[in-house]
Amino acid sequence: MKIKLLPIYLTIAVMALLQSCSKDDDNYSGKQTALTLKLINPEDLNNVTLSNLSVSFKELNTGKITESSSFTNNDLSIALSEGSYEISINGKINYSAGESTVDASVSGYKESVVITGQTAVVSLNLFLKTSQSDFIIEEVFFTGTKTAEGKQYLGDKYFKIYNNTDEVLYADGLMIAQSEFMTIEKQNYTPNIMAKSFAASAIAIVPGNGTTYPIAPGAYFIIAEDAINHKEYNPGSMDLRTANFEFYTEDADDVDNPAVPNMENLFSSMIIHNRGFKSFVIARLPINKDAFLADYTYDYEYNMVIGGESYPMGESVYSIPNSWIVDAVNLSVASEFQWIVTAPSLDMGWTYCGKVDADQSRYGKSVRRKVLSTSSKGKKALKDTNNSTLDFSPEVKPSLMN
Amino acid sequence: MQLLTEYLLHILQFPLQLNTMSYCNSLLVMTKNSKAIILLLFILFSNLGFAQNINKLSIQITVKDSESKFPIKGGALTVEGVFQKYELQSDDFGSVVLESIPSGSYKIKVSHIGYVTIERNLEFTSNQQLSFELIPISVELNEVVITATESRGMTSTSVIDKKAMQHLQPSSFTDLLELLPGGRSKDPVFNASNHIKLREVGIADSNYDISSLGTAFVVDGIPINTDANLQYTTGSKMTITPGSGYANTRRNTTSKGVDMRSISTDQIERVEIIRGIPSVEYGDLTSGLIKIKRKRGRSDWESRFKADEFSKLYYVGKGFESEEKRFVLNVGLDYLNAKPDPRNSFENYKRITASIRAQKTWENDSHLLQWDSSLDYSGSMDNEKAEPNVGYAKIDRYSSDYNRFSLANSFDLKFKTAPFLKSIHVATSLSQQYDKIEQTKWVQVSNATAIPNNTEQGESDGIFLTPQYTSNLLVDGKPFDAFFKAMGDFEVRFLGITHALKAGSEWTYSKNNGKGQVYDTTHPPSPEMTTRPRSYKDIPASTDIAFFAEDAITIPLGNHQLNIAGGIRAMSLLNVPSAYAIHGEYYFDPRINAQWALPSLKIGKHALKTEFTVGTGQYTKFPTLAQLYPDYVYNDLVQLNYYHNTPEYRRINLMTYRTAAINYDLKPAINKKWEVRTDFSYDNNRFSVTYFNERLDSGFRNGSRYHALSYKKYDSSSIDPLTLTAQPDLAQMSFVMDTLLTTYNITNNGSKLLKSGVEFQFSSKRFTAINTRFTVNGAWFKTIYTNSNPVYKSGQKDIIINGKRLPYLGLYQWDDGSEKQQLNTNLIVDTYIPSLGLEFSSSFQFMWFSSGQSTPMNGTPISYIDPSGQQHPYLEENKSDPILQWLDIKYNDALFDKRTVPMSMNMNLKVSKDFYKKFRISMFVNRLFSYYQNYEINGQKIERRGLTSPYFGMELNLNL
Repeated sequence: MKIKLLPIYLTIAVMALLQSCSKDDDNYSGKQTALTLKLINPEDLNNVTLSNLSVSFKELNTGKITESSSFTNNDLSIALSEGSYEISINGKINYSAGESTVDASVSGYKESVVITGQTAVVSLNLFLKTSQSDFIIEEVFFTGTKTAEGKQYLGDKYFKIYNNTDEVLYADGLMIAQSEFMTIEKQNYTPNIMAKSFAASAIAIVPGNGTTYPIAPGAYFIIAEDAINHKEYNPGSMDLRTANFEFYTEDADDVDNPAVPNMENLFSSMIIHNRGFKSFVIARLPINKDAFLADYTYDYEYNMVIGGESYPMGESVYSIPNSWIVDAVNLSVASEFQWIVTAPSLDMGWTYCGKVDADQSRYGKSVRRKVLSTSSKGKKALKDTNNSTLDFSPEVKPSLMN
Repeated sequence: MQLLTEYLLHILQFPLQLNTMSYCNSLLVMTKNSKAIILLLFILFSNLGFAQNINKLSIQITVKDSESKFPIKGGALTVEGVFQKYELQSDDFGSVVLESIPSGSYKIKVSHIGYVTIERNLEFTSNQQLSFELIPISVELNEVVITATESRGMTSTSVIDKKAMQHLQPSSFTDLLELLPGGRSKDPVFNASNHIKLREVGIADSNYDISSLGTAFVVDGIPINTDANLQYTTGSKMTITPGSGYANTRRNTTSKGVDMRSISTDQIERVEIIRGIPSVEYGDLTSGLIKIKRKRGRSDWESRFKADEFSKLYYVGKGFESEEKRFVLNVGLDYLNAKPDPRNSFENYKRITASIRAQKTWENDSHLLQWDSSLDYSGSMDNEKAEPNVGYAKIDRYSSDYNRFSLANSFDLKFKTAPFLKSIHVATSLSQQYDKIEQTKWVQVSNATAIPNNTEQGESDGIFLTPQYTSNLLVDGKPFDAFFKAMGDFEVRFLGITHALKAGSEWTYSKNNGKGQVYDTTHPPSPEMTTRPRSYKDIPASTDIAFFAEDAITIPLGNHQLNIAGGIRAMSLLNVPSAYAIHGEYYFDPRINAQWALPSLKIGKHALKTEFTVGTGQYTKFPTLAQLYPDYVYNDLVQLNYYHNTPEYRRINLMTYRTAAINYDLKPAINKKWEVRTDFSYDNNRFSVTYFNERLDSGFRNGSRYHALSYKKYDSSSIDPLTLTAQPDLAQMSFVMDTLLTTYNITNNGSKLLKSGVEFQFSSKRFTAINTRFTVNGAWFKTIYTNSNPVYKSGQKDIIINGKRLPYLGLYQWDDGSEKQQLNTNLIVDTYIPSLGLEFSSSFQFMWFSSGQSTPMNGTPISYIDPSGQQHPYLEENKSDPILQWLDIKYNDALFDKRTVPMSMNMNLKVSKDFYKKFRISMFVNRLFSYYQNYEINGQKIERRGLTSPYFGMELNLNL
C-alpha cells in the first residue's frame, strides 16, 4: 500500500511543479503596466491638429517592439510589460500660421523610459520635422586610415552630401557644422538649448555666389579634409583629388590644392572627431554672416566629473537654430553612448564605426545612408526618416575607397 | 720666601693626603676665595723656587668611544690642578698631550657632545699614558633618535643623522623629507625628477619652480650648481609608456634645481635642513638650505642591501685611518636600479655614486691645517622604450644620461694663538658633467604637411614632409662648474662683548659646452617645430661673485643670555651682456637672527629651559642660463600653399621670423622671510614651535609677449593649375600684405609665492619602563601662488572666425592664482630595546585637511591689441562685436569655490633587529593601514577607499 503511494506523490509533485511554472508565467504577464502616453505639442504653435500618429515602444532588454496608432487626441493608452523602453513617434501636424494653415510632420523621441507599476503616465514632447527640400548627408568618413606601421592617418576624411530631391540644388552657402557636445559625455550643460538649437564647435560654409555650384537631383558633392591623393602618404588610403571642396586652415601643417576650392571657415577649423563621438549637421544660413557671428554665440557652464573629481567649466561656442538645419547625423560608439546631441526632430538615432572607445577596427570605415530605391533613370532615393540608427549603414567601406 | 712656599704646599697637600677625594672636592669649592688669594700670592712670589721642588711630567691622554673603541675627536678635556687649569681638545686621533705639568693632584673632566661626561681626581707623580672611554649618551639614556631633531640653534633647522636615516631606510634623499614638519611618507618615484618644496602645500605648475630652484644643496661645503642644466627636448612632447606621461617633461630638471633622486643617502653622516634663515655665508637661494655632511673617519666595511617593490639598492663603504700620518680616507660606492612599474621592464632608472674622500691634518704649536679632498662620480640613466611585443614594431625610445665628475678641495687653517684671526677656510671645486638625452621617435604625418627649411629670418620655400620617418634628437649638455670660496673667522672684544666675525667671498662659474639640440631639420622631432637646432657652446658662461660678512655676539644679561648673529651678503652676476638690466648690479641680502635664552627654571627634579628666537632675512637667486639665454622662437608664416596634383609643381613659400625670446629686464628672484620660534625643554622632553612668513614677489615665470608679423599672401588664382609646366612663379602672382599678431613666451618675474604657517615638534624623553619615545610633529601651511604680471592671450582657445585667426590679443590682468592650505601631524612611537638589539617604530600620519581655492579671475581683458600692435581699452560694447567678443573669457563661477579634502591617515611600521652587532635586518611597511574619509564636491560624492595599497621593503646591513 505504502509502495503504491509513491507514484501518486510523484505525480502530484510534478503537477505542482508544472502548476507553479505556469503560475510564474501568469505572474510575468500580470506585471503589465497600463501606460498612458501624453504628447505635448511643439511650443509656440496655435490650433494644432495631429494625425497619422504612430508610436513604437522598444523594450531595451528584450528588443521587443510594440507599435500602436490608436491615439485619442494627444493621448494613447496601452498595456506594456514592465521594462525599459525607447519610445519614438512619427505623425502629421496641422497648425495655423497667421492667416493660413501649415501641414508638416512631427516626431518625438525618448531614449530610456522605465515603465513599472500598475499604471504609468509618460509625457513626450513633439518636435516639428524639417522638410526634405534640401541636401542630405549621404556619407561621413570620419575615422581616417591606418598606416602599415599602425599609426593614424587623418588627412583623408570626407563628407558626401547628396541631393535627394527632384530639383537642382545649389551647394553655395550650405553650412556644415560639428557638434560641440559629444554623444559619449552627458553633462548638465546650462543653459540647455538643445530643443531649439544645435551647439557647434566648428562651422564651415561652401563658397559661391548662390548659383556657382549646382548639384543635379541624385548627384552629390564631396567635402574633403584635404583634396589630394592620399595614397602618396598612406598606400592604404584613397585619392581625393576629385573632391569638390576641401577644408583648409592657413598653416604649413595643412596643404592647399589650388585645383579644389576651399570651404570657408566661419567658425574654428573643422577637425573631424576620428573616434566618432561628435555629430554633424548641414544647414542654410538665412541671415548674413556678421549678424550670425555677432548674435548666435552660446555660452554654457557645467561641472565636468572625471575620476571622482569635479571641474567647473565654462565655454563659448556658436549655436545654429534647429529651423535652419536641413539634415543631421549623430555618431557614437555602443560602449560609451550616453545621449544624442541633436533635438530628436533632427535625428532621433545614431550610427557608428567601432563599438568601443578608440576601436582599432574602425579605421577605413564610414557610415553611409541606406538606399530606399533606384529609379529607372538611375537616381537613388535615400532613406531619411530622421533616425540615423535606421537610415544609415554603419561600418561600411567608404564609397571613394577602391 | 722658601718658608712661605713650603707652608703653602703644606696647606694644599694636607687635605689631599689626609682626606677622601670627595672631601677634597667640597673643600676646594668651599675655599674658592681662599684659593684665589693663594693663587694671587703665588703669582706675587716667583715660582722659581716652586719649580725646583716639583717634578715636570708629561701626560698623554687618549679619549675613546666605549662601544666602538674609536678615538673621539674634539673631546673637551679640562685638567684642573691647584694653580693651573688646562683646557684642551683631543685631536683626530683622540689624543691630548699635557707637556711639562707639575706633579700633583688634578681634577680631570672629559666631555663631548653625545657622551656622558667623566670627572675624576687623579694624582700625577710620573709620566703617564691614560685612556678614557666615554659612554655614548644614546646608549646611556636609551636615546636613540630615529626622527629628525629640531636644532636648538639660531634658526629653524631639522637635523637628520645617520641613525635616523638607517631607521628610515631611504632609497634617495627624497625619502628624508618625510621627517620634516609637514612631511609625509611618499612612495618613491624614480621615473620622474624629484624636486624639493619646503614649507609649502605644493602645486603642479612649473611657474612656481622657484621653490625647488631656490633651495640650495651644499655637500661638504660645496654647493651643487644646476644653473647650466639645459636638458630639455624641443618639439612636441612624446609619450612612450601609456599612462606614464610625457617622457622628458616628467624628468626635466632645467631651472628646477636639484633632482633629489640623484642623491643617495648611504654616504651621508648628517643632514641639516635649514628651513629658516640661513647665514649670509650661503647664497644664491630663496627658499632654504640643505647642508649635507658626508661620512669621514675610520669605520668598518659597511654594506647595505635594500629591496622594495620598485627598486634594489646596494652600498659598500669603508673609512681607513693612519694615526701616525694623521690621514683619513673614506671610500663608498652605491648602486640603485629602479623600475617604476615592476611589470614593465622597458622603463627604468639606474643611479651610481662613487666617492673617495681624503683628509690630512698637519699641526704644530701655533697652527692646525686640515686638508679635505674628495673625488666623486655620480651618474644616472633614465630609460624608456616602447614595448615591442604590443602592437606594431615601435621604435620610440628615450634615454637621459647624467654623469658628473667632481673634484673638491678645502683647506682649514686654524691659528691657535693668534688673538684676532682665528681661522682661514678655502674651498674649491671643479665639476664636469656629461648630460645626454637621446630620443628616437617614429613620426607619421597625420596629413600632408610642409616644414620650413630655413634657420634664418626671411622668405624661403619650405619642403613637404615625407609621410613617415624616424627622427633622432640628441640633447647634448656638458655643464662645467667651478667654485671658489675663501673665508676668515675673527674674534674681537669690543665693549666687553666678544664678537665672532666671519667674512669671505664666493665665486661661481658655470658654462655649458655641449652640442645642444641636435637633429636633422628635414626630419624634425615633430613637424610643428618653433625652434631650430642650437649649440649650447654659444651661450655665455654664468659667473657670479658674492661677498659676505657676519657678526655673532653673545650678551649675558644677568641669568639671561642674548645671542645675536647678523650679516650682509652682496652678490652680482659678472658675465652678463650690458643689455640686461641685471648687468653690473649688486644685490644685497641682509639677514639677522636673535635668540634669547631665559634662565633655567627648576621645577621638581629638572630644569625647564626656554628660548625665544626671531629672525629675518632676504634671499636672492639669480636666473639660470636657460632663463637668461632662451632658444630663439621661430614663426614660419605661409605666404603660398600650392599643393599641386603633380608633385614637381608643388610649392610652399614661408616668411620666417626669428625672435630672441630674451627678457632683458629679468631680475633675480628675491624672497623675504621672517620667523619667530620658541623652544622649551624639560627632562629630555622638548617642544618647539615656529611661525614663519615668506614673501617672494619675483619668482621666475613663463610670461607672454606679443609681436605683429607681416607677411605676403599670394593669390594663386591667376595661375591655371591645369596648364602649369613648372613650379608656380611668385613673380606672376599678386599678393596682399597681412599681419599675424601672435604671442611667444619669455621668462619674467611674475610668480608670487607667499608662504606662511606654523611648524611644531614635540619629542618626549624615552620612558625607561617601556623604552619608548613619542614624537609629534606637524605643520599648518598656507601658500598663495599667483601671477602678478598681466598676460597676453587670444581668448580662451585658438579661435578662427570667418577664416581668419582672431586678429586681436587681449591683455588679462589676473591670469592665475590659488590659495592652498593643509594641516598635518605625525605621531611617531618608537621603541628601542638594546638588550635585544631591536628597534621599531610606528608612524601615524594624519592629514587633517587640505584645501585649495582658485583666486577669482576676470575673463574680460583690460585692453586689446589690434593687428597693427596698437593697444585699446576693452569696453563694454566690445563684448557684442562679432570678433572682439571672443576675447571675453567666460569662467564658471564654481571654479573659484574653495575645495576641502577631509582627513586621511596612514600608518607606517618600521622594524630593525641587530644580530651579533654585525648584521642588521630591517623592514618597513608604509600604509599598513590607512583611513581616507569620503567627501562631496559639487554634489559629487568622492570615495577614496581602495586608492591606497601598502608599500613595503626590507634591507640587510652588514658591518665587517
